[in-house]
Amino acid sequence: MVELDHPLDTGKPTEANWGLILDLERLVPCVEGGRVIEKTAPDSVKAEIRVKMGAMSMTFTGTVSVVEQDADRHRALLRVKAREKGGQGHANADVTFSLNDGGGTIHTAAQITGKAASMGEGMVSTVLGALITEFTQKFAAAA
Amino acid sequence: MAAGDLFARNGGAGPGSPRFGFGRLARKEDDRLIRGQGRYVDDVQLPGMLHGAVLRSPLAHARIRSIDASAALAHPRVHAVLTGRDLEARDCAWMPTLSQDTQAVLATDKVRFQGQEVAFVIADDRYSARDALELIDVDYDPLPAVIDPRRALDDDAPVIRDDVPGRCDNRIFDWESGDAAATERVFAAADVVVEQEMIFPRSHPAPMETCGAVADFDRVSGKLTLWATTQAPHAHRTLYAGILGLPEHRIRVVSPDVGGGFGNKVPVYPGYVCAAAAAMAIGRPVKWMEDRAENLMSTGFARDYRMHGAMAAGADGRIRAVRVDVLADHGAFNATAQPSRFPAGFFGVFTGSYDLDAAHCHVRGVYTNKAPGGVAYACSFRVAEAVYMVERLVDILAARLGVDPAGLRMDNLLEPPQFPYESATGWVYDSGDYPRALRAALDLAGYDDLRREQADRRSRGELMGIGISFFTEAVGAGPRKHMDIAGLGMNDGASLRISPTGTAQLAISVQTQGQGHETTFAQIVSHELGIASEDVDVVHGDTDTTPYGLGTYGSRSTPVSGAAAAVVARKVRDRARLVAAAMLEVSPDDLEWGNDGRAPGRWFVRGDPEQGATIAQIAAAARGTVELPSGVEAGLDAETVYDPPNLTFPFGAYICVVDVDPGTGKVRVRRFVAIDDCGVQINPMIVEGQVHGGLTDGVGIALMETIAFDEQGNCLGASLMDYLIPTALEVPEWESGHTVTPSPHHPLGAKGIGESATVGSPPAIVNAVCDALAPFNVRHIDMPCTPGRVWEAMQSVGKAVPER
Repeated sequence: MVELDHPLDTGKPTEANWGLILDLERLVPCVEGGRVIEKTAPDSVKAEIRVKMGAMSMTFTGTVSVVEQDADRHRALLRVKAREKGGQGHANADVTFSLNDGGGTIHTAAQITGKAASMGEGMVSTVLGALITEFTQKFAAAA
Repeated sequence: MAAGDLFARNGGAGPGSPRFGFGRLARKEDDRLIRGQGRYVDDVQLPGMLHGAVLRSPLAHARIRSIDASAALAHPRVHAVLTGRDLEARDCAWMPTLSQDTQAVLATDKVRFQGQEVAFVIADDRYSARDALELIDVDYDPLPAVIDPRRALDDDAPVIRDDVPGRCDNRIFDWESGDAAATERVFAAADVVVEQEMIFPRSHPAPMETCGAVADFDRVSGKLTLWATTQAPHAHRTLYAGILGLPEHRIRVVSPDVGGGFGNKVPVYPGYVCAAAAAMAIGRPVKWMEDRAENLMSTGFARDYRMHGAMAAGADGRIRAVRVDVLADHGAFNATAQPSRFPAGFFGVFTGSYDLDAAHCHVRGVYTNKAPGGVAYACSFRVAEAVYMVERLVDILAARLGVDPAGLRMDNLLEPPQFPYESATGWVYDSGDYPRALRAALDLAGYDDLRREQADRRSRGELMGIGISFFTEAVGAGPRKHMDIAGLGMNDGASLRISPTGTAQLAISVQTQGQGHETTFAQIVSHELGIASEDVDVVHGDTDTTPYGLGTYGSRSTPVSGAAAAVVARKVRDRARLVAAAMLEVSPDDLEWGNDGRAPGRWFVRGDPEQGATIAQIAAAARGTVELPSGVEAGLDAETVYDPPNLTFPFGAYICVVDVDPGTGKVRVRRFVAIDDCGVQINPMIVEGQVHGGLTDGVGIALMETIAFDEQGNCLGASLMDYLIPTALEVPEWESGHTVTPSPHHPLGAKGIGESATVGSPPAIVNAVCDALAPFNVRHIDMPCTPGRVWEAMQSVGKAVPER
């Protein structure tokens, strides 16, 4: 289990930030290498992400869903359940957004198994950390 | 014996290389190995050869819902994909292990460790086979995994081996040795008792050459030839006959040059079987070579023993009893290679080198969702674990009593008149002069000066540690009435053919992986027959051309096969006597054997040395026209099978000096003194090489190496970036010496040396680290003593360290 905390600095009003969180079709492409394959429910999409980890490149497919949302406090929990092509690994994550005027925070609790995980937690948290940092920049632009 | 004899230090072969018999002869195999002209399995190229690759499980524990190989089969260069279902149809989806268990060749129902074999792709080339692995879609249903062996026996622990009917827990075996009641009595009456929980972590042999095989099935003759990285070609052939359903005499296992074994190449691996099954199915040769990550994550690891040891002593410092409780992690399949009646190997020698009143151990083996194994890495059938445990306890006792650990050992060591000595657990140590070896080590190290230097440095805040270990090894398995692997008695054969020109070919059943068999075994024949070592070639590693035997591991080559070589050479010599008598027209009783180690050995007429014949002359006559006595056949060839009457018990005294960086916790091994006694030495240069290699192993184990797992069972040591092995930078210049106490029951008095240093060095190093940290009140650190662990231990300064 890797747990990471990132600040989100968008300079945009709370509602703009909140709106982007709930719009998965706009949100998922903010992840580098991520794209929505299809919308399966109002709060859920089937998505794909291509991750580079050192010399390895892995494609994960799975679902992203908004499983909890608190519109008053602008808190949302998004759940990612993904499986690497060919079944060679799994990546599951609970991502909690706490938003406010100008940005907010992201808490990520991820569980990686398989080939990627055997590179060690240090490697996993470095790659994941970089991925989320990049996400916050794209998020700021898109919000 | 003069000190000069004891410390023949680190010399090479040099110009004085002996032509005959024992001594520092340059290794015959080095010419090709050093020039890069060795021939390894991966060098085998056959016409029409295809290449295989193994798809491995990414998960530690999961049910397989489905495997879809259609995309891989559509790859233009792929010929076939084998899955567990395909092997089931051929009745070889499961295979026996070396420990009366079964192991999946390719998973059918579940995967039970990360890295387990799931499918085998056969393609035109290695690259395509690897590419096609990614095209196979496996749908796994993840299951909770058992990673911590302490959880394996919990009531709610998932059952790993639900493939075995009726199995409802993860217990493999419970094994006891010694007298529990007597031991308890001694403990109850003891003045002092020390206890310590300690872990001998999972390590890996990491040989330079990974495992692999080339299989070639001749559909016309029905014969399978398998070039494989194996330390035990004959035993493997017997197992393949059962697994593949082929008659054993139509299987030829060839083990060419092997790039290091260290026990890693004792088990039969699924990849070997897949290569053979694929070659039989397709009708073309198939090569499979694993990569480094596959070797580290899926092949035979070593050790993984969690030990709770206790030692009872009198206030006078006399050690009375040892008690130990062990939890042994065997991984997902019990694939350790131990003699059948010894599920914990030779752990029973945990009484060490001391005369105890009583001793008892209880070893519990459990399944976990980790790679199977447990034999490997010069572990000498678990002697490494036993020696580490008892030698750590001696140091902890010394600290408790406030006495010097060298003196405590000297006061408790077995004395020469006590040999042969039967230990409290029933092992009969053949011979030894332990105090002499310890004194030699203390002298060579300058022990008293080192202690003075330590006191001086401590007063300046520097952290210097001195660690001692004294070990008794148990090698040369074994008498066949006690020891077998998979039902095969642990004996070895030798066959010696003498050509009419007097040169010899010695065929042996053990197999070199770099130990220098081609040299030492030639020297044994040379020593016995008085023909030059260069005139003896050693044939090994091919079941078609060598006699049956159990192979090389557990330091058994010299104790068992070396004895066979001596015995078969003596048979030839005895036969030569009869032929010489016919040549010289005298009675065999009138002949005397002359062999001074400088000129060819010869039979000559007693009282008339001019009348005689060398082995070469006799060999010519034996194949010529000399009339032979009735009952004597032509030629001098002979065969034998050697059944050792007992194990041999090499021993040694090691002293390690370390410096610990007080800022970073990094340990540097500054000096290492090793006095080994392996009985009579056939080639002292090779003995030293084995010792140096083993000491280097020890530094790795003690300070660097561990195969770690996260909570999901992901292997965190699958590359040499994560699994650190020692290099020349981490080790000092070894100061090695020896004493010689011959084995009374070995024909040459030799005891074997292969694993001594790996057994003896880890406790010396950890003892030194703990000694360095004595100012911090540190009592024990588990291996590997990485900077992080040492630094953490140093932070406990001033805190109470629990007693008992």
